[in-house]
Amino acid sequence: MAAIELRGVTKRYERVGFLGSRSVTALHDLDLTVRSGEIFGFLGPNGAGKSTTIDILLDYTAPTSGSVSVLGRDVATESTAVRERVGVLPDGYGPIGERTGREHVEFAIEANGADDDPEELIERVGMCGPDAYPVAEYSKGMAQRLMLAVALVGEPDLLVLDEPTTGLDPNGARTMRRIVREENDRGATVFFSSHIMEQVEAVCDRVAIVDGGELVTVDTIDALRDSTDETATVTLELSAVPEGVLESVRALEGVSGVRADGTTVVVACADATKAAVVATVYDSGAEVTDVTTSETSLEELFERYTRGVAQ
Amino acid sequence: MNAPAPDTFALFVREDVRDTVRERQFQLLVGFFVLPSALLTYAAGRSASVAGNQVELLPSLLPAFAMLTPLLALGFFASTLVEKRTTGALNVVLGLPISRRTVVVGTLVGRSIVICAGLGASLLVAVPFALFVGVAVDLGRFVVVGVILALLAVTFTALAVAISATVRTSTRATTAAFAAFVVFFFNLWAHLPNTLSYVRHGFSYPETDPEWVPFLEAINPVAAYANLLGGLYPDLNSGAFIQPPAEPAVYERPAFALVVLVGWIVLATAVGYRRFRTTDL
Repeated sequence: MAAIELRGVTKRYERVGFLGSRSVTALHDLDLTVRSGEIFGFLGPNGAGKSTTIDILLDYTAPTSGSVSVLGRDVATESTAVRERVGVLPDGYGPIGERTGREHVEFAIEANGADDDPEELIERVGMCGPDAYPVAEYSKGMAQRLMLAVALVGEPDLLVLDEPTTGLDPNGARTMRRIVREENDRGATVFFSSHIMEQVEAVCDRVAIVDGGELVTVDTIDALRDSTDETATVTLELSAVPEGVLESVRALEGVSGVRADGTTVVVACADATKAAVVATVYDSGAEVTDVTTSETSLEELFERYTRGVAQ
Repeated sequence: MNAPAPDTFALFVREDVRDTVRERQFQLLVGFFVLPSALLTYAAGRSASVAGNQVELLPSLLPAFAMLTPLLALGFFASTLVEKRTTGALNVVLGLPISRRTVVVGTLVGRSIVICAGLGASLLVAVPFALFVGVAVDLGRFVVVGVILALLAVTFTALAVAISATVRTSTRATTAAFAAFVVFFFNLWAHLPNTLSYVRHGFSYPETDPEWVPFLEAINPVAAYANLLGGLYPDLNSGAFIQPPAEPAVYERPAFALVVLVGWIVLATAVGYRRFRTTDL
């Protein structure tokens, strides 16, 4: 059974006004399956539709069309039952009134009918000191730790974490990653969104990249890395760019892109073509003053996949 | 539609009431009820001792309480859910296995408990104080009137919760609450059927009102309160701007007035829930 299954999910936000209406399509015909037991990273730039997807998973928002099932249940009709088995760290959360951190955790434990020890959860996320104060006074990072504790209540089968490391210090981010792994070892599926590739890279089994409301790719981290290993960037500093050199470089097999920026030529090409690129430029008669090559990082891959926001 | 799971419902109500205590809303509300109640009782005692005649407690309290009850219910509760939505507290609550129906109905129950506690405290304080300053108290009648006021309080709490479940910003909630108070308490409501009758009669007033005009007038929850109180105790001034008629029609009798008040509670909550169920957080 899939932990999360989205089929043809479209979300349009409509705003009706006196002088014409506006609408934004945040998600367009999204299909996504998260398998039971995996750590799934949901990656995309700001405005790509990550939080909208999560809002739809949790029934904070209803999709304009399409179907959503979580842990085998239809979210549209059984959202309360779904949330009994899902731990949530939502985006844009806020304190409930003047309740203290401990009261938030206790409320979550009671609402889930769980028998967790609030002390243990608070200790696990590292917010022991401030637990007796109202959450309204918390710093962003401390509130984030608290919300993680709330999400962990009742050993959920699925953890949905929206940008979980926002506002966390490096220690907090490490704790977050450790807890994600621990929960996964216990058997929980973890779905989390991020716009930071490193976060995802460090813990995820599979990754989906969304951009402009559409799914760009779904793959394992290793497969993504393999695809990036094939590409490299060669940057050549020339005294002057001779006529025709760009064309002859472009004509080489394995070259995917050439661009000149003043006297700097940047070539994107297959790893094996790097030498041929340098030789071609050298043979054109240009004086080469400097050559640097680099392999494309996941970060650059992410950049290449994602260009823009929801239309 | 399944019944709300009783355990999360009770939990939600309990914590909602405790929230009002944590936010000092509860204490403030009790203060707003108890202070006028004590002052009015004291004033009644003074006038009793000066004039040397018998003064009763209820007529001294009712005018203030008839206004205070809807005003405080709307003023305190119309932004409850709006605030939770804008601060993101609803994202936390609805991330737990708590249904949206529990949120709306639980808020109504929780806040009703709070306002009835304020009302009850003020009445409880008034009785011994009244006896102390020499004001007469008809205890049986006092209790019944207290229950009627509580019903009025719950009705306006339901309206306030419905407003807060429907609108998206505090400004709109405040405006809607103010409008509701003016329309119902100052009985602008009565202009509605009158205007309708005026238009239907070819833009002139008919010599006798059609039957549905006073019927619609009696649907105003404040009119229902006045009819309920006036029907049971004709000598008591309900404190509303609406006076019950000397010869009430069926829809102006206490039994129907009771149905109207309960009807407002059910209708407002149903409308509020319907809007809240499908809204985007």
